[in-house]
Amino acid sequence: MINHKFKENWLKILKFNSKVNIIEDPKELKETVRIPLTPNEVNPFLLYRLFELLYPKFINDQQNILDIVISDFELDNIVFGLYLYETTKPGIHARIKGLPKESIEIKQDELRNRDVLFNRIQSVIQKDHGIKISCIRLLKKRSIDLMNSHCDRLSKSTYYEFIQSLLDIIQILLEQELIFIYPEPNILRFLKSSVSLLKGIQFSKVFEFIESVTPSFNALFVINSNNLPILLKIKKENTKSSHPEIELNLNLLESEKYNFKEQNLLPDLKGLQVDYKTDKVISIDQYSLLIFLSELFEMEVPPSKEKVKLIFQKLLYGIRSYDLYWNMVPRPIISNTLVRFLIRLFGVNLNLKKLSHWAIPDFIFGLIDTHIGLNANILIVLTERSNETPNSNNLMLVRIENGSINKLEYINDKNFLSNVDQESLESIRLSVSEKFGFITTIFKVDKLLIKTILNAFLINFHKTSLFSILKVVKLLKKPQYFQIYPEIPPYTLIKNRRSFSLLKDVLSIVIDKHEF
Amino acid sequence: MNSTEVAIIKSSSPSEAITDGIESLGGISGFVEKGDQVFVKINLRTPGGFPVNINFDTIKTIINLCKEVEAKKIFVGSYPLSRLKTDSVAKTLGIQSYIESLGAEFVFLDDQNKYPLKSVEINGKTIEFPKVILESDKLILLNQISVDPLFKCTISLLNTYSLVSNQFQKIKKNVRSGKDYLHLDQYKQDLITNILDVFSVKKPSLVINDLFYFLEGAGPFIYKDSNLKRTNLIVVGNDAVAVDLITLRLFEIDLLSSDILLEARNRTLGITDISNIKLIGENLGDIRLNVDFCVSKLEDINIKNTYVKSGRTCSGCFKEAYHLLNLMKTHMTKDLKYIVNQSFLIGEKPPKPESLENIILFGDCAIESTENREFRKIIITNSKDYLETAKKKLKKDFKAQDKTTIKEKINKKIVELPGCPPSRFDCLNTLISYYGKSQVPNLFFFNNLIKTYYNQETDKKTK
Repeated sequence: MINHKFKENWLKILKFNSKVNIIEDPKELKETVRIPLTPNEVNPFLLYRLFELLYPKFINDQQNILDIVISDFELDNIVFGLYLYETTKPGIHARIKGLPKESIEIKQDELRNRDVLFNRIQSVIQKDHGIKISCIRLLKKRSIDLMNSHCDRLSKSTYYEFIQSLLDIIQILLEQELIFIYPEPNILRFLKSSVSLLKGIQFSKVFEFIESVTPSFNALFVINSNNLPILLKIKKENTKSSHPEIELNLNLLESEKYNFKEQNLLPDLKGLQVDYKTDKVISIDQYSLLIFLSELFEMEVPPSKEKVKLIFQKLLYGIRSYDLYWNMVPRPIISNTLVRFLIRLFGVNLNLKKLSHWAIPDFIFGLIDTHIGLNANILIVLTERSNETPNSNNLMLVRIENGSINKLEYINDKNFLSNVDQESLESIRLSVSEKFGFITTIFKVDKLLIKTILNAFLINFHKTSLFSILKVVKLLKKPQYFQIYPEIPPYTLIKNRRSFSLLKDVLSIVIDKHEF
Repeated sequence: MNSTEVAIIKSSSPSEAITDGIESLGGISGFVEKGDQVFVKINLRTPGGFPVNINFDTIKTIINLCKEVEAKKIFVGSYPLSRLKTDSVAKTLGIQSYIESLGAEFVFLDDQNKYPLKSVEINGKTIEFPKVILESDKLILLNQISVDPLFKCTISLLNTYSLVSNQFQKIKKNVRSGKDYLHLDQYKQDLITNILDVFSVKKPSLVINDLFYFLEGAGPFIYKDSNLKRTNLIVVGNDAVAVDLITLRLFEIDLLSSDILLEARNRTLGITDISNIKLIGENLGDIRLNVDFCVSKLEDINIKNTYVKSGRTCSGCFKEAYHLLNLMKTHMTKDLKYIVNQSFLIGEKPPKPESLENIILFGDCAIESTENREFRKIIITNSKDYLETAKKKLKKDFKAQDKTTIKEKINKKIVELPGCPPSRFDCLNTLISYYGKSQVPNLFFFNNLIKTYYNQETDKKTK
């Protein structure tokens, strides 16, 4: 039923997991396994530790799992296969046992009432096998077919194509509800509701867009903890061909070599930078990252405004906690005391560690609520000045209700705009309003502006300076890169004020005044 | 007219609700006839988003319905908030082109060259009314319902008030001899009289109270405590008073609790006897809307590091202070942390402030009634110079030993916001000059922001 390469690899993982306890130093084993559904070969011990860490945190923290493959159609018994995992440790799949499919009978209707179904299956398994299962994973046959075709393509595709294929599969699985887990983990609920928030927006297209605006980079992330320090190398190189070269590697950090001890959560980042030949090394505290992610997945989607504010606040707190929760090599220019002192002489307070995480969300949401409204339809027009193909702009509709995003819609069919002057936002607004309801505001954003912002604040964060920020502000003022129609007062202010004095005013809001 | 019909409609979209509501009352032809000139009065308060202004999809529905019956001309308009130009609001909302694309005309009521005014005598007063409204055959009120600090809800009668310019909306303090201005809340009485005077000049043919989305908590502008509640309801009828009465009943507010409707009954401006109102659509008894209204006491607006205390206050000052405090709460998050401690005193003879620092006196009553209060002065005691005292003890100069000087100085940490009522936007300037730009960066930014569309009076003297 399942792709033989996938099966082979999965059995190899199970075999390794089952013997971890009897191997003297499992880390030193030379064999490798593939991360399921990916082309990445990793040390099996790393995968073991990842499952041990992440599965209980995000999926289920109890033992014993039953996988049920079911039909997509109505049958007397929709069960196609039953696979029981006896897990001694939550998340560690070590032994698999195929059960006769007749041992449990399920009808399509029963899928609606999953708690009753789970209790019935649990009592059957306990009675027949003496094992109390804590979780069932139901996979529709179509999900297996999709995974098989994805696995078949793996060997022939580039890394870029693999990511696109994986994202497409995840979206189909979630949209068409081809996978259920009971008890439903927060991450699955979060992803399912996030998918239903998107109308016509494909994950793979979002990835394609992000890729197109991201410059080349080569970074090493150290997901740092006492228990399981992980290295994640991401390299993206833009080439002349249509797709870039992407490289993604996962490794365990060699603690001794890089002076990594329990007392020192900041390993020798410079040594890592040299050894892994990367432009930058970013060390992130694993524990804080996992807490942030689990809080994010707990969030209802669409989230309330207050919840978004809270998550935003936490994210900003994480950013300001430089040297505490994260660190990087080369060090950011703005963290240099002398540089900060010099720009302070010009009346500009730029201090990463004093980012007002507590005040920024209120400031931004206050502006949006006041000037755009609690209910609004915002049209985002993504332009590319270098692309002269007519009607090539991407249009996305953001529907806001009571101050929070309710729906994101990609406008695929742009034929209705063929007779509209593409340079006139007023004409676009009227045409789109006719079809999709009143458009409150249009944001026209050029790819170059997004590239510049990403470059200044993310990819080359270590180079962020007063000048790079001013460059972004200047681009915001140029109608060929950014426009808002109708022009709302905050944008009028941005346009009318001198960049430097505007920056000073905004920085006095986003950076805390007091040094201590 | 002794009886009227009012429809309460529940639907899945505001436009559908309006169409169904009008249909249930016999269709648009019952309100607008072929060849009529129609004026649609909307909410157009500030350059802000929904629900401060009307839902633009509902305007489209109304215009399309009027076009269905071949109305000759359809005008849409309103006066915005005081000291705002229709032009700046329209530009920010992009409303003109939208209305024109629907086949109607957006009216810049403050452009008197294009839309001249006509004097109308009513109750001994002369009101300058836009000619275009007076000459229209039909007036339609499309009113967005939100909470209101003075009248609980922004009912349609209040909407009619912005048919005249702000100059005529302004309530001048007129103290009648032998009458207590504050006790009788003369401000509110004068305001109600004026509103009903304006209403009686041109009565609407169709009134739509749109509460499909209802702004609760703090309103009718969007503040930090505002919340948009979906009720899926609209109320439609041809008698504004009856429509407002039914709207308020949905919130379990009866006639006796509404000053303005009581006055409308006294002046027989509409039907206030519920038995004379034929209800169509939803059953009034089945609907109970539980919403959070505006606070009735300013002290209940919970603002960080701010101590609010009121004396006897008129409705005018209450309303402006309510908006100012909510502006502070919404747009001064950081500033309120920097300020550490401030006391906001309003009304006649307010209680004493919490501390002698950062005392805001709001309105003429608060300023005048506290002129001789203790907090106006601070007492400075010269601390003993122990070294000097010890030296003098050694010299046995006993006279000089216990000399402690006490000085009384004017407390300069008071900011006065004069006016009755003071304008909330003028107050912002005063607060910035008192605290300084570095202490209130949020407020400084916000003030620059509103300067882009708000005409600030520079001649106002504030201390």
